[in-house]
Amino acid sequence: MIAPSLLLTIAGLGALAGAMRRHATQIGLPPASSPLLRLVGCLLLTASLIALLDRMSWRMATIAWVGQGGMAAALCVVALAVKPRALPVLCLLAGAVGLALLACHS
Amino acid sequence: MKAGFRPSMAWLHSWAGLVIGWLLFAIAITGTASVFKNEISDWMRPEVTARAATVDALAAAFATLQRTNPHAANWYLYAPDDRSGATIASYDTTGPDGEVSYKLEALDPVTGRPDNIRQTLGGEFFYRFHFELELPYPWGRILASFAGMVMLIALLSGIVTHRRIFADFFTLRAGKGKRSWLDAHNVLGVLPLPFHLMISFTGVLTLISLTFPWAMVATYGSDTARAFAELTPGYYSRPRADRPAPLGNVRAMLADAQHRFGGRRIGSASIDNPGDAGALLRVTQHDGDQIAYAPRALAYDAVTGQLLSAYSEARPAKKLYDTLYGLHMGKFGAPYVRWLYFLCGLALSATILTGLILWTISRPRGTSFGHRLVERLTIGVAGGMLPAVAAFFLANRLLPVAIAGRADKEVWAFFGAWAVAILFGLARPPRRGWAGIFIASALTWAALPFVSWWAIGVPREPIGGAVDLLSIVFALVSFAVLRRLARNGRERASAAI
Repeated sequence: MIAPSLLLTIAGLGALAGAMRRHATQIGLPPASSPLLRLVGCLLLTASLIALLDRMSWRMATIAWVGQGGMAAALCVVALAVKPRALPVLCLLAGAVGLALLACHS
Repeated sequence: MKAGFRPSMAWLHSWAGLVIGWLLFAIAITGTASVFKNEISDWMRPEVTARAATVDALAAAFATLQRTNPHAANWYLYAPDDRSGATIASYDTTGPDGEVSYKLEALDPVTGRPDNIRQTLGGEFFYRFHFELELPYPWGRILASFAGMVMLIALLSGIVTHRRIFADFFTLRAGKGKRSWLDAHNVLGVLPLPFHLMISFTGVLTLISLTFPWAMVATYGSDTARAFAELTPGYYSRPRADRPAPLGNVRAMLADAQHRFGGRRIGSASIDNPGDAGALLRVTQHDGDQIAYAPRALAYDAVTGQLLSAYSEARPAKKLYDTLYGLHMGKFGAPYVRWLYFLCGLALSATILTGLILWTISRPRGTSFGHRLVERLTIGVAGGMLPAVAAFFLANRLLPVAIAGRADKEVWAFFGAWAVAILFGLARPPRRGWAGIFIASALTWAALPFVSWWAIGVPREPIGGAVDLLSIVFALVSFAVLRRLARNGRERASAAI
């Protein structure tokens, strides 16, 4: 499914951004949360790839996943540049809606 | 050249990017537009509203060609699909003076006739420009190929120069002058980097037989016919028999082909030697049903209906090439994947544009003729593309439907607007030049939906709505840039006091 996959990618990349010291200070996150955020980010990105697999072949899913990763990262970059503190809200929302959609589907 | 690996790479990056930057920008923008080639063609032919099943549309088109152009050597048809409604025909015609010319024509899918459909190149214009640059064969293709190679060099040297790929992955510092431009250039280049590398590499690969012919020459010498036959065994052909014979039941053959393709669609069909006993019907599967670009092909004796050849690629090397080719074309998959291609293409274009701007602002302002030339050329060549594309679409709606040479006049509108933009950019001081370009862009894109509604009515198809929406987005973005330019200008003026 495309929509939950994209939402999970946004949440996952946002978590990875939050795990970086520079952006953690921007957002106001304690540096101690980095390892956890990094793990959550990787899990969400894996989940977003798996979410694509039920709609398309693994080849097509890989292409879409790489492409949407770039676009989702661009969204995080814009959020960090314009309003850094909005990024956690955006990512929590995207992650929650994405997971909810996945749960409804399966 | 500078001493040391990284300074050398930085030098290579900035000069390779500069020399070919404007051309690359034009190639990237038209390539991005080509992602929606079929949709653009559909939008530019508002007369085609009927829809027909593939086999019906192809049979109707062949029936019409049989009446209107029975003496052609070959009729080639692209089937309508979910992305475009018209059947596209390409065939040769012999004029009264015996001169052979090729014609590309849109046919109504139900009647198979071209009547009342406005003549336009549609999205084909962007697609052709993307790799032929409106230059005669093979120079346009060679130049485009060369540009693609330099793009690859610029990408690789850019990666080396940038080096903080992951540390700066999410970094964009706004409002800091050159720093911000560099961040934007890096972010636009790095985030879709897999796409940038893929599209440049596969782009060079599409024309590789033209630019690196030596392997082929070493194996086949001048026997290009044999090389072609071994490369594409699915492209079955046979000579004329020089005996007249009527075509058999083409419709039944097409239906048989559809049956053999199973769930996959027919993409194109052609008839060689129509009216001759050597007539041959070739049916090819749709490009959009798999990543690889050379799908299955069938060949029928177009007189008797007997199946002569059925081919699907099994050789690993050729399959790999077809897959890479297909990756470049991006015809497969859901609309979602095409939108991702479109957005990544815009990002690549923006990377090139920010690179060109960086080149000028990294060097002392207005010190030399070369610097001024680069600064001002970028305005018209890159920025001017925005109003030029809008002018192309406006011409499609405003030119009288029946005017002679209509398709060419649309292309002139594009190049006319581009040329004016380039001259304007060269003539004005840079800040005013950019302002002028974005005023023109905001006005033309804002006008497009209204002109279109006035000319052909409010759109009823989703594609019409999508074009109107995108036009408004482009107009708003242009307007936002304009406001930003004005604010920067005021700040500069107050700083001077």
